[in-house]
Amino acid sequence: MDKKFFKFIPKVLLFGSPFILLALSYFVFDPFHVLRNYRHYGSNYLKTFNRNRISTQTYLNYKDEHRFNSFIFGSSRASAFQTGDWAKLIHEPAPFHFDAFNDNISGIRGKLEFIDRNGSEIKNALIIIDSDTFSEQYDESESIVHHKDYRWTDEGILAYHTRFFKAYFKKKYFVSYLDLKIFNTYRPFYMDEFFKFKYYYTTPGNDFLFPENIENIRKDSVKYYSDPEFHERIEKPAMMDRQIKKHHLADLKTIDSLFKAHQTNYKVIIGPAFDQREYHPIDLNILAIYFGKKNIYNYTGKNQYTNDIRNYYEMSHYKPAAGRRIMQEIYNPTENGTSAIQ
Amino acid sequence: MVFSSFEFFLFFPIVTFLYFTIPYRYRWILLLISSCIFYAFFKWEYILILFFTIIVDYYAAFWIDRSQGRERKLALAVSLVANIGVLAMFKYYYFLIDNFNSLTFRLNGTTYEPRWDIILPIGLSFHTFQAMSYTIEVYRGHQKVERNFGIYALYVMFYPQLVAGPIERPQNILHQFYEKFDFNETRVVSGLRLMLWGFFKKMVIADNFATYADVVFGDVHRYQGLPLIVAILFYSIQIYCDFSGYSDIAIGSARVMGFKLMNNFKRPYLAKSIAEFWKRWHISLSTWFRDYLYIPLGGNRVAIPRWYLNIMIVFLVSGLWHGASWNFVIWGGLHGIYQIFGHLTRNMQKAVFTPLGKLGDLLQNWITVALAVFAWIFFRAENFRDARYFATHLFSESSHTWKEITHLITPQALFTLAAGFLILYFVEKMQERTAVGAWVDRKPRWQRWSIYYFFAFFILVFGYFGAMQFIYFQF
Repeated sequence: MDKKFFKFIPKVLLFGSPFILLALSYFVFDPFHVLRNYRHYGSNYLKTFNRNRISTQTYLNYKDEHRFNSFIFGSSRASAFQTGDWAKLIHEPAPFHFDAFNDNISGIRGKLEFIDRNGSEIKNALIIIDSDTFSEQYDESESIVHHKDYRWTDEGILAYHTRFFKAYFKKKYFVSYLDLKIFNTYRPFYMDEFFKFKYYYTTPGNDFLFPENIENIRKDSVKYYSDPEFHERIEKPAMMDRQIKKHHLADLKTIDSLFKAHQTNYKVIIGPAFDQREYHPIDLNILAIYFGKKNIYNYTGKNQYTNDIRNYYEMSHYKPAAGRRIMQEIYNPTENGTSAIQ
Repeated sequence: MVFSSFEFFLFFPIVTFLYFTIPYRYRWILLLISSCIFYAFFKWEYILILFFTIIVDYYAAFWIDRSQGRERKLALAVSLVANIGVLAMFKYYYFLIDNFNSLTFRLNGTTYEPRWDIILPIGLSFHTFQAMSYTIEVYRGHQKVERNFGIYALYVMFYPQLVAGPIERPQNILHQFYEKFDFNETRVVSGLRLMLWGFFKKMVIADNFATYADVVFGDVHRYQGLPLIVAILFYSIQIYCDFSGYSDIAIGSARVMGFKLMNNFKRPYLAKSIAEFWKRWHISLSTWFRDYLYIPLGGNRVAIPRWYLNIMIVFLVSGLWHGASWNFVIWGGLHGIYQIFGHLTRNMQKAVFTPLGKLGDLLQNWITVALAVFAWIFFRAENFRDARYFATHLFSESSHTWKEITHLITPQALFTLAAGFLILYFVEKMQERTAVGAWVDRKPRWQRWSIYYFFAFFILVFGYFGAMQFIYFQF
């Protein structure tokens, strides 16, 4: 052992103290809200929340208290299907919204397995399918807001937290974060570090709300819908490309098995995408093989929902009003109301 | 493990701490295990390939040592064939098949499907060359046989220089694994300072310059004129800072533990001829080719046409060493032609530039840099088609204005690039005159620490973390 080396260590620590403090700031402030348990997340405005984490943590926090047994799965587009509206149709007091940003089929499968492992009953389920459901784009990205929760994936807890810790130092995130934390002022040089949309997450149902859009529509709906984006749809849009690949079948099979094991009353809704592109019939058939034709409801293409631009907040997200009507159609079908593929 | 990764920022202090705390006799074991871990972070299977050459060369050296005449030559040949064979198998397999296919397709319309799915192990060319230099030196009688298998394995695997050099000679490094390096604060600080400078060059300069260069090289046919000129200039800075930054980190991290690795770069863009450029660029490789290929071919002690042929052979092989593609061969060939042309016109150059004094030096430097930069086109382009387009559209009418180019780079990045480049330029200029490290050492502590903090925070704020690999890893 070299005594001179041990005398050198305090100097290194002294020199490194700003960097040690910087590293410690991550653990003190928990910028991504992944280190500690939060009972309520609320608004994500100027924050960097991981929706998988929020959904998983909120589920764990309230699963015993509220005895969740009905779940809504999908991406942020599933936000149109709100737990309050659904509760009335399925006659269950507390459904849970288990969605994630751009969630895909492996995310949905992972969440269902997690629910099963945690001993919750899966009495009712809604799976909302969209263009992200069979895409791995975000799995392959380094996006920390999309990263899947280690509690229902193969990833270890250390690798999971290391990813977030590293993200604190990447792309100058810590500079923007500490600047905002200290001066509490939004600056134009912030890039994509923080959410600039004012989303809101409810507790305990974990619904995903769009208060800013609602407020803007309320103030001046004519102006809101005069945005050229709402009027630039292609008259005859091409059919969607095939989405379901061979590797997705295992996930579909697992989901089907879990539904069977829990005798779940489930519905699979292919949401009313703004672009009015029809879902590919082969993909519809594959879904029907696993979930049964009577459980698949396709709202893509031109229809009463997609024709009316007032059903949308923007190009990606349709409103709860549309979601409510779709659920009513599904659970209380009238003669010409249902869209199930039968 | 990449030097500029989070993992290395944990790995390095842990290994260094253990190195100075465990008994001296176990240090080589620690370094060997650490080197295995370092390499396994890329892909653990790579270690198996590495150990194959280590075992072959370890025993080949004994065979060389105890034999004479033809048998000695045979033993060396076995070692060289094993090393070059591994290189050919993993690095040139697809290249050979592609060329074989283009030949057979022209002759009889048939092609051969590759039978194996082969991935090139990181840094294979580097440790293969280092291993070869051991058996060659044993053969020449310049190096004693290393009896400790672990120490020999460490010679090939020593983590600071495992994946991208400097390519060491056994005479320089092997004996160091037996030396007891006591802790020396001045040496450790000097090593850490060199690492800091290396990280700055890699993470701030190289990776930021890469963002624009990658966009243009990713789709060269969209650009002509000015954006291409900017891209190749940026790439020239990127590759220098990337590779010399890596070397600085390697040399610095070894120095912290007491090891002295050979210098790999000496400010090559300040050279006044291509011959001088190669005395300053990737020195460990140029001297390797000099010692083991150029001199055995006869060097310059032959008739001039043969000498020129020797130069061309060395540069063409050097090109192929860098990558399994004809683009690299062209790049090497260009440098060979530059060298020969430089020699042919040496009297004329003297007559033109010497009377101009410092201006003449500056002009010679600019011409050298321009030639080296032009050759980088072939080094960086994805394929020959792109390289040819790039080279022939450099001076065409510009497809983008300067304003559009700066928009592509983004104003924020522009500040980083300008600041990074200016710092690099002034430090290199200063290094040309004096030892910058010693200059810093003479400053009072608060000034020294201010300099270190400046660079450390510059890296933290403007550097790229872990996202980008070092360019030379692919070789």
